[in-house]
Amino acid sequence: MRSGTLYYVTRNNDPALLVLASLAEGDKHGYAMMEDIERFSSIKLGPGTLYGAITRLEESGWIAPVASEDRRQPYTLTALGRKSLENELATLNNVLKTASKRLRHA
Amino acid sequence: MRRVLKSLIRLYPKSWRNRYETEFDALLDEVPPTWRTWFDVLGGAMKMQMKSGSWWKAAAAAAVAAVLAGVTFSRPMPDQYRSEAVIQPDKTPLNAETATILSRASLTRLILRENLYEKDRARVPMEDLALRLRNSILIWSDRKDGPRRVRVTAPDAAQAQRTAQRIADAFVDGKAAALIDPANLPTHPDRPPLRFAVQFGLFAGVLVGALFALFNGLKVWKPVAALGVAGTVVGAAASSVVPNIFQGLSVVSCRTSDAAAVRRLIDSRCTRSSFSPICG
Repeated sequence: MRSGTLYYVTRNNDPALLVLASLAEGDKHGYAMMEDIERFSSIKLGPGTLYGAITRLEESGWIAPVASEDRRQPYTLTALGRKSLENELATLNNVLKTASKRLRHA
Repeated sequence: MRRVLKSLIRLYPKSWRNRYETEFDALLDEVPPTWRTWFDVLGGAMKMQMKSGSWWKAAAAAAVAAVLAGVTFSRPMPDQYRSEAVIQPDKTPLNAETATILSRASLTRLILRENLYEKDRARVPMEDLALRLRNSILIWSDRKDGPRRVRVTAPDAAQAQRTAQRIADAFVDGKAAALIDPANLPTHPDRPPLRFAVQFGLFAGVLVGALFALFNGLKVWKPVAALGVAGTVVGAAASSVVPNIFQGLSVVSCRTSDAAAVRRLIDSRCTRSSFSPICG
């Protein structure tokens, strides 16, 4: 798998998806993302995990840094990132619906 | 603590630091410097090193993580003291006597008489305490008809000695054995020394890091060479701290028709107390 594919970005579980979901609301720097993610998912991302995801997402062109006045670097969701997040959510929705339906009939 | 945490950034690849160091450093100023954060940053460094192909740095990061984990998890563990008494059975085996002495009822009486687990008795059922005591007792022998060692491990040196002595006394009082060596008072806790934990962690970390690198598609010879070098370094370090041990051997010839008597004579003379002045 190559950089830029869905597999490359999300293969190491959910941090990348959580970062995308956080940035869907607006630009944020690292610590703001960590707090936001903990608020909406109850998952406490560590700094190493967060920056692993940020590195992969930026390499893939799904997020980009925006101008900053201090040492903290805010990121924004790119058009490609927004599209990829929509695709990812559609896939997840499909998985959830299918799993729920199968559970009901099991 | 935070300064040390921030120094872990150096474990990341240089190319990554050129791009992210300033903002990552700013983030580490805001997060609480807990152990969880430490391991997360170390894990992140390892992954980045793997990605950049620097197998030896990944192995170093794994070694640091393993040493930290070893030290972290060994520190809160309470010290344990081990005391040992030696008895010579009048008959073998001692199965029936051992079962009686280590029965729940007998151990419960011992707990009450010696006032063991004083703090726990209010909240832990006596059956569980008896089981805990049972698990701290080991009765074993090198030979089928040889002396039995009664070993007790406890969080308190005096308690370990007292309990070992009471168990040994129970065999003696039941006319099942004679006491050869009374229970000793342990002077040091029975736990692996810190340097051993560090060396073990270092070796395990290098091994895990190198294997991880190997399975991430890096060339085979590099991890193998790294393991060889690491093994040599660890071996040399370990050998330098282990004291020399001298062993003496003497042969005594004894002609007798009663081999068991010779064995008993040797067992009665070669006790721990008789060797303690020279062996410590």
